[in-house]
Amino acid sequence: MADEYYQKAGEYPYLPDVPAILESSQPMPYSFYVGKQGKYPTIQGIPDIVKASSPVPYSFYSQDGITNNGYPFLDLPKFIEGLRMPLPHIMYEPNKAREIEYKIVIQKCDSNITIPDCRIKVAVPKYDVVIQNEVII
Amino acid sequence: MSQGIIWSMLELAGDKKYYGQAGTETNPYGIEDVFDFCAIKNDADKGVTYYQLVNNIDFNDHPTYKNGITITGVINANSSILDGNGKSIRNIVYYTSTGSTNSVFVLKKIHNCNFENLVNACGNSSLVLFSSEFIERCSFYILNQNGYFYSLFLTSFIDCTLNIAGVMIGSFDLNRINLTRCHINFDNATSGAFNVGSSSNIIGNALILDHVYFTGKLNITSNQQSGLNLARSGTFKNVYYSVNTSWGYSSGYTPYFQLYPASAISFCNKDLLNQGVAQVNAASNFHALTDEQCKDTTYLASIGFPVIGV
Repeated sequence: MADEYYQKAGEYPYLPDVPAILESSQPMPYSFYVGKQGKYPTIQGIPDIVKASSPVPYSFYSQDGITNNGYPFLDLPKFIEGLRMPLPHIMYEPNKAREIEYKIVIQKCDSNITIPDCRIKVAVPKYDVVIQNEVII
Repeated sequence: MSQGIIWSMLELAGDKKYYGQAGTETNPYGIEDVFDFCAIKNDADKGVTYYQLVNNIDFNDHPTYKNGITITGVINANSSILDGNGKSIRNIVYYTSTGSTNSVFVLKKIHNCNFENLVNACGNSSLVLFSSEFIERCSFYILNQNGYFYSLFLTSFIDCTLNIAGVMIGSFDLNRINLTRCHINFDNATSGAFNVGSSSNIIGNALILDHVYFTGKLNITSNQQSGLNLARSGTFKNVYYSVNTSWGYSSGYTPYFQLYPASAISFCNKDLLNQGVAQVNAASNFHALTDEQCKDTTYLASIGFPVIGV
């Protein structure tokens, strides 16, 4: 195995014997927003169907810098039931697009709880991605 | 009771006995599907036993585990050696909310296997998902879903690629593993912090990184006033960090990226630490380079980094 890095002009060094990164490691980020309207959070811009041929990682971000003791939005899934459930069943299938349905359910929200405005960032692999039916809930 | 009947009962219970062969290095047991894979646990007392994947296996095919694994000890066979045969193990999803220090899968060695869509949704600070003597020539696509990463593995990796996506809570931490000739790529990943322990922000504690490179994009959301440190402890040899790193912090602080001495020439791409990091402090054998320098074979060779042009 290599004990030296190899390098092409203008590229970073690499170790040729290390397995190649899976093709699905090329994300195309989309940003969606969760805001407050009355005492319930509202969700805008989340597509109800995403087709992807690769695993779909998703991330939660604070829009205004507020985090939960430095951790990103541990509480968010409590308010958005179902968002995380379809994701484990997304699998990498080269050359085969798969529909993923996002079922967004807003659960009871205690008006005494401060819900910071936040952004849901979904990193969708760039391959074979089709966004359909953008919805506003 | 015949062996066939016993195997049928095992299958009904969720475990299928792998077929044929002798379990030796030259004649390993064949693993056809997820039930065969899970049945490895039944051989825990056999001593050193060899297995080889015959097909890609998918945990979505398991009636229970397709919904996520919430228990430890699915396999606890520390004498078992798995040859992935270049095939894939897909869709392992781990959930738990209770404390545990046990592993889901314990094997002695794993080599030549691809782990696709390994979902880490474990809100637990002490989980070890894989524990082996070493993992060699394997690739991982790890999708974190608000899971702790830092105890996900307790092993040594040799010639492996770890592709890390999604959200890690706590910290990105490599304090229990050794990496040799490995590539860690952050696939637009997010980590609550980038540290070991509560008071120091380091990557590398009681570990060895030898010929390891970090690439990709990492979003750090912690609100830290102290620096983000690389190689504060552990042994770093010919490591480089070229990651587009963003970092959340409060105004008024001056966060910095602190490099500590390395055992052999290593470097960090300071131009990619362009969001929230005020300065990068170099150390003995650990250089802070511009992006242009990082891509310059001649320059890297001149500082002693083991690189050759192709």
